[in-house]
Amino acid sequence: MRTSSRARSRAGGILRIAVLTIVAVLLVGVPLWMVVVNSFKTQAEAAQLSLGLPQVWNAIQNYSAVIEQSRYPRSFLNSLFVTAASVALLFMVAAPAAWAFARAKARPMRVLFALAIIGVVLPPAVVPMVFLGRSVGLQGTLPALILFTLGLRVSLVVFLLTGFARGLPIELEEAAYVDGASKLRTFRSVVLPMMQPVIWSAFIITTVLVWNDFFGPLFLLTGEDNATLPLGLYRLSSGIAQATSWNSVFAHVVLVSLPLIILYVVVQRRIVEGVTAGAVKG
Amino acid sequence: MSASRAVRPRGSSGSRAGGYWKFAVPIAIVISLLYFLPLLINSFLAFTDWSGFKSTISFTGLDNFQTLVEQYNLPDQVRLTLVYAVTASFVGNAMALSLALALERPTVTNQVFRAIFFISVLLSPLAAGYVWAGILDPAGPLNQAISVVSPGFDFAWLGSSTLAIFLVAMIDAWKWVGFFTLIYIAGLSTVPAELKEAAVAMGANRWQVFRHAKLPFLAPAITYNVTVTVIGAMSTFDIILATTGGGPGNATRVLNILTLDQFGIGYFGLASATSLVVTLMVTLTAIPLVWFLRRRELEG
Repeated sequence: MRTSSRARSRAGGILRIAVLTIVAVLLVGVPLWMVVVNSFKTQAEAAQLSLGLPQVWNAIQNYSAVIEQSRYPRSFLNSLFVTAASVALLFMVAAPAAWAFARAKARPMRVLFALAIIGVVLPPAVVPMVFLGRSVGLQGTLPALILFTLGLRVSLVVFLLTGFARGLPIELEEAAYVDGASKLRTFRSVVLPMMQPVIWSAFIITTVLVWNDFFGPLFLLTGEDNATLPLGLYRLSSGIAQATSWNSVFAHVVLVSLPLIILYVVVQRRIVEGVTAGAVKG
Repeated sequence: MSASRAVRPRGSSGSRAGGYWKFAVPIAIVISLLYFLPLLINSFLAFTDWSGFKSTISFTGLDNFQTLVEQYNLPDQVRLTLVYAVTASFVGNAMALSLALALERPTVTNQVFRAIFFISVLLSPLAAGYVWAGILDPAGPLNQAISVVSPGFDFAWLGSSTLAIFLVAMIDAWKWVGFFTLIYIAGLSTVPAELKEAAVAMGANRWQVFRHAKLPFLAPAITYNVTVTVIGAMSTFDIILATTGGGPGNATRVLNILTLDQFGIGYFGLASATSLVVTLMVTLTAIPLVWFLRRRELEG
């Protein structure tokens, strides 16, 4: 009896892994393989979209052409600048506020918190940002996109951080006050270090969202010099006949996605832990 | 918890109870100027004739909305946006919940699978769109596979005006499934182990264990995931632009694509009006969510 049920559960385990493997191959393996292998082919061969290895390896030509046509180094630096500046500003604004919202009991602060997290579900309007950008002379520039991103994502960051800050023990802060520390000092030396886990996972989530954003750049950035990576990808891909240039499109998809995938491989464990720990708080 | 609250600030250390507002000043400025002001201006611009063709902006009442209904078939675009949102949410959540149940235990194999299914979350939605435009191309791998049983099969999946909206919604689901799987796994981790063991000991089968032991604890994760996917999909944009561009015809021209089209040809006031419709749709969906979160907050 016991052996048969154990054998059955082992068979179930093998079946489960087999099914998962098939699903993973079909949903992740095949699409990624198609992109990578076809980015190495010549234009004519890639047009067949086959999953076979290239008959003629054209990788270096494809990638160097795409890097040149899409002005990849420039777009990469723009993406890096926008992401770094936006994420830094987001945390400078949201981290102190999250602590204040978690600790303050006054009614105005509770109202402010409710207003600050509306943006988690309701995205801000993009067209007026064009209007506002024009009126302060930032139209079409990277700073305009950074400001838009700040308004777009601050709600999510303060929401995640406040949920975590509420769970922090207040005793350490009280000990700091007894020692005569000011609020600012207590925040910097006691609270901020304790908030590290959630700051880390919120950092990953916002970095991915800001880096991949395309809606904002499309409306707010003008001129080739200001393009971010997704915008460069769109301009390249919509400017050429897709069906005949899959090799270029896919080479660009690889180049645009690679930075985040590398980041993911480096910090993979932290993402999974962070999402799992912080997610369902809200 | 109540003990620490009972310790009241006394004398000079009274600053510890109040004074938090200073830390919230920057966020108050940011949300006023960069969130609420744009929303406010948008609801104003929606009733104007602001365009790229004239230098003045004047108030035109409901003209833009009349134009939207008469020339742009607004009810159709709203319906299309809803079909997209419901499909993306349903498919995404069904996949994520199944994966979460299969990958619930934190074994090494499961960690590897979780990481694999997370890869698509990292792709930009635009890139995801190009990937699936390739798979679903008449010459693409899907038709090549079908051609094994039915030679010469070259159906243009994204060229079908009935199927296209469902297919692009499924690409959306694919893009996010890894993220929502992790949230369901986090929800499953709140199920007490004794409860599952007791259910199994009482002879419950797999479905009964899921239905009576796990599902009640998954309720918050389900509500969160469903609402976030529905609302997120209402603002969809990138995937459609990369795959169909709104076509064939108008078959996938959801509201945000319409906004871009109008913006691109210089009808800024009209674009604001379309964008206001998205805002209204999201608000009407979001109210139940906010109500739910508040209620949970009070309970917790």
